[in-house]
Amino acid sequence: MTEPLLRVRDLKTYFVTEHGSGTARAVDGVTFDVLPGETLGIVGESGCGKTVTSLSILRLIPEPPGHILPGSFIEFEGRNLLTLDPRELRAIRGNRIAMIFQEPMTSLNPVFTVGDQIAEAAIVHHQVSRRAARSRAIEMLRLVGIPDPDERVDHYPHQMSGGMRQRVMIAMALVCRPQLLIADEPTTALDVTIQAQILELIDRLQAELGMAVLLITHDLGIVAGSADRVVVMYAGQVVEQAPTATLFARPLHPYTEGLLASVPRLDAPPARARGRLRSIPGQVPAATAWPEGCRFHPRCPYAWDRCRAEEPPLLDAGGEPGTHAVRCWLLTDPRRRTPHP
Amino acid sequence: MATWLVRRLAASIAIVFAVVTITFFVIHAAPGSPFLPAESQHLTPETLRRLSTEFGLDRSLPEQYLLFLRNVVRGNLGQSFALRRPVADALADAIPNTFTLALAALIIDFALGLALGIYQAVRAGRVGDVVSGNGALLVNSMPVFWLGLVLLLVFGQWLRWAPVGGLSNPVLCPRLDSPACGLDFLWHLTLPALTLGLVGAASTARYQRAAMLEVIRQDFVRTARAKGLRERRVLLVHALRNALLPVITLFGLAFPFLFTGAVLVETVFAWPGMGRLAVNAIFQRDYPVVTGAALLTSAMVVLGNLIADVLYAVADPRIRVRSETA
Repeated sequence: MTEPLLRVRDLKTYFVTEHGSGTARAVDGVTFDVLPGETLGIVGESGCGKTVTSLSILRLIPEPPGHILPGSFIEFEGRNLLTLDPRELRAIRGNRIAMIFQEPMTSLNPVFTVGDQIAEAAIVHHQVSRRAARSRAIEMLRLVGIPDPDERVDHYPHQMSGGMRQRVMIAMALVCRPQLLIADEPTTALDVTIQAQILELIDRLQAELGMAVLLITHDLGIVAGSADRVVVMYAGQVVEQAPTATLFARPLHPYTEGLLASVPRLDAPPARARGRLRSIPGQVPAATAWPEGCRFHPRCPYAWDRCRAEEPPLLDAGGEPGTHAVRCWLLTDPRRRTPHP
Repeated sequence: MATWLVRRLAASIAIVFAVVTITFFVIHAAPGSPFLPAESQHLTPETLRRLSTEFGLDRSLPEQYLLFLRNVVRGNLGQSFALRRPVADALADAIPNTFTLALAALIIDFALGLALGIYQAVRAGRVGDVVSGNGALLVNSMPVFWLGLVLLLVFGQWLRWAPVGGLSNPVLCPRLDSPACGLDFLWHLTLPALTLGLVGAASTARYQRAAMLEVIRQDFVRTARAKGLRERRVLLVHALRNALLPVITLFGLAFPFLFTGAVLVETVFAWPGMGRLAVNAIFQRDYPVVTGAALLTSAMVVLGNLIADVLYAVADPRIRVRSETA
């Protein structure tokens, strides 16, 4: 097995709540690997901790109120990112690991030209001259498919559309040729047609540059199209982890099952296509008060006493060893997989 | 851009005109006249009448107003009753002093205010922020003249670090033409400029802190950090450029504050500027000086606002484009 590029172990990121009354355990013991060159999708509903996970990797969590607990471990290229001093961390940010965000409208600085913003990382990390950085910026704009890059390089973000701005964000992230790109909901704020273009762009650049992509999304359709492997998060934990094909063919966690059932399908049998779309009842609980036992049990159609009392560990689901893991007691008692009326 | 500038200039002239007109009628409506009380000045009714005719005070008010306007358009601000010299000369003597004082205060105001505001925003909620925030609030609540008197008492009288008033040492430096006398002038400038600058800086810091806090939370600041920039660059380049935009408004508002503040500070520190000139003129009903000072001050305030608007366009590319397309 290839050595992972990024190794996240037992990551815990907590937030002190506004009134100081409680602690929000936004990310609560998350473990996963990203292999070189692969795309790992992290899916889950809003509030499940996927964005906090992605921000924790580059230590972009605002402190206070947030903090990453001791005992957490994020290894990249053999070093624990959580113990690096600020200078070493800066050498990785934007250089070895780059990030793009959900909101292209607000993630670019409105008072600087896009060219300057793209060139900045190259100047900081690769000590190139302003002139060289500018031509790098133009080259990057061409690479991400922006027409007239020689002219666009001097434009300001407000002169561009949302899709264009996300392309600029991607150009900015990739200017130093990172090994890992973290894309946090990169298409959520965009029109559907633009979404597909941006995802194709990320796929193409991944192949060209040979980088790994950590793709954070709530959209299973995006995962199906782009990811090699999927991590499903719920209530600050990983609840299921599998290769994409396995996950779609054989979802084992009731939450994953529910997510898949709530995606509209055009290829479904007519009876189901005409029927109402299924949804998972209830909502993600507050991060200050996760339920006892299995955190999904209040919304789970199969839950029984054990689920309410004991928190399940990540259990191996068979198949190729170490590829499919599920945090569910059903694995120990498969006969119970029959919904209550 | 050109049409916008022309429109703004026309509006500015209208404002100055309105200020001068209002000042003219208000000061004439005030009880008293330049020559009262006649008894104390030992004037015969005959002399009074002659003086009134000489200065045109025997005519009706609208007539005087039209005459005044005609003279202003010709560049003639009239003759001061009390100073016995052309108003323009008196103003020309006073302007450089007020201008220097205002400029020094402006520099203290923004240099100190911006630095303090940024510091407070970065340390928001911690000891440094709370202590300096309350300190700024205290200074901001003080009347300018009172702060001036306190500084005068402490640094001028008790510690004797700074002179208690005037432009320069009247014995050693009656004229400001040697380097040593330039330093003497700066030394005399210190306390009045500090008085005015500190009060301004206190409010500038409060605005800057709020603006900076607003910006620090924005997504693009996180983007800048994710790029691997130094925290100093993130704050002073990416955040500050955006946080300066609301403060430019404050820059425009600083001019009225500086000129009204100058009136008080110049009185406290015996600084021979426009403010003191205007105050004395008001008490003596020296109509031409009052209207002349109002004309000049309002012109400067309007000019300051114009500069602020231009700065906006320079600092914010979004405004630049809008005005180009408009």
